[in-house]
Amino acid sequence: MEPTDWELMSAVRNGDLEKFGSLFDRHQQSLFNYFYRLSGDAASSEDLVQDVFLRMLKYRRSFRHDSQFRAWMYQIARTARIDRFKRHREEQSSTQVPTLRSPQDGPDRCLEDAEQNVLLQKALLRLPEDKRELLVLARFQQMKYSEIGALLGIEASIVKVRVHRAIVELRDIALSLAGERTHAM
Amino acid sequence: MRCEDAISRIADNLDEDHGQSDESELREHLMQCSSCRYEFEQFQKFWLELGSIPVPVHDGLVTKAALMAALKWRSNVRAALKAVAAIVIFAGIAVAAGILLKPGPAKVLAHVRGESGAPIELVEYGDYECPPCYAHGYHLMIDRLLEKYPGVIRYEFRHFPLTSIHPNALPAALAAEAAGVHGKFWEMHRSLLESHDRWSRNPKAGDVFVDLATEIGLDPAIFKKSLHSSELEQRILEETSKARDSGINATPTFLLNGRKLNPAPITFDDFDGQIRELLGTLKIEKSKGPK
Repeated sequence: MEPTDWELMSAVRNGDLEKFGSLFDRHQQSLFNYFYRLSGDAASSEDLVQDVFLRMLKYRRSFRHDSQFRAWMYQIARTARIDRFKRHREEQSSTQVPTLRSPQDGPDRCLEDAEQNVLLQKALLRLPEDKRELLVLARFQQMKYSEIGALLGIEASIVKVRVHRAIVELRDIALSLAGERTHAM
Repeated sequence: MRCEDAISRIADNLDEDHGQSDESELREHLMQCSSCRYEFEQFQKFWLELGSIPVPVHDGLVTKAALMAALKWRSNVRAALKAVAAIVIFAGIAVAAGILLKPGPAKVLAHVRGESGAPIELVEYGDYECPPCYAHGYHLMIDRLLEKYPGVIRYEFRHFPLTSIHPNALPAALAAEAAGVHGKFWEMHRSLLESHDRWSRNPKAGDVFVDLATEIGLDPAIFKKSLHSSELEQRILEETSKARDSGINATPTFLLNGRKLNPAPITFDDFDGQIRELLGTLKIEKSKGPK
């Protein structure tokens, strides 16, 4: 049977660093997605993934028996992102142009879908930072409200209300962007 | 159920993971209220659309190679620390026995950052008075590279003063070496690059070097003695001559694991791209090797 994340990380904590590769394989794409959805910047997302794993290694002793691996990992990911944000404040513009690139964006992909995706990604990047993060965690990282609440230090019921508000705002931004696009045509 | 209650419950039902509440009341309301039903459907549609935004597939191979190299480095450091401990003990015994010899001058002017034994070696041949050397801010790029690839890169700076066209290049290299004698090579290296406008082409560059030395915390009198060391000058010239024999003829020249980067990188991304490529190659070679 495959070891759980908790078992792998506990092994790493106790000095079996070889197990770290398996944790990397399991979570690197998910972490990359998290950073990419928040920034639209593939290069910095990749750097942050590396930073998170290095921090996990450095602070492995802070992973305790009662720790939830995913919560612990995202806590580190958030801190890494905030630190980077402080260091490269000028690079972290909320109006950064997304650099969408994906194998799915090939010629076979429906142009309309691709345009809608670009529009939504742009809208997401225009959303205020805190709301964007909330939506990314809820929608893309498939986190439950209770998990998000634990991560952000707020009640699950408040998470729910804020997710709702964030979607309303995002939808408004997307509609306004779609309007701009129509006028430009 | 009132419309505002229904709307506030919509977020509960956007995703199955989040469906925590009793839906029957909401469903009933939606059956009766076309306005809320429309809102609910729009939200669900939007939620689904949102989920379809693509993300680049990230295989993480380069990052993993860097990470594994860092892990390997950690275990190497442990082994090295054990070796150092053994040497320290031996040296202690040697001192006690009074057999320590007076150390002679080092044969190579090696100035290294990063870790010895790192899988990637980046060597720079530089001239402090060469405009591209200071204008591109290579030392800052090296900072970033070492930060980005901890334990993966060993960076070495070697002097290659173009004395025929840059009158203060050799004195500047001497200033760096003189500071190095007192453990401040990198501080002076940085200072020279960042304050080139103060000393480059300046007939009184020597005075500026002393000022720079003072600014980085060196005793000006002691620094001056080292600055005028003919032995240091001789060693810089010998190193330059050796470099020229090995085919170096311009500054800056960068060698990545012995291969000259031509044209020389001019941005951080240029370096980053080369290093990523090399890391990928190293990984492939490793996977082809004997198990």
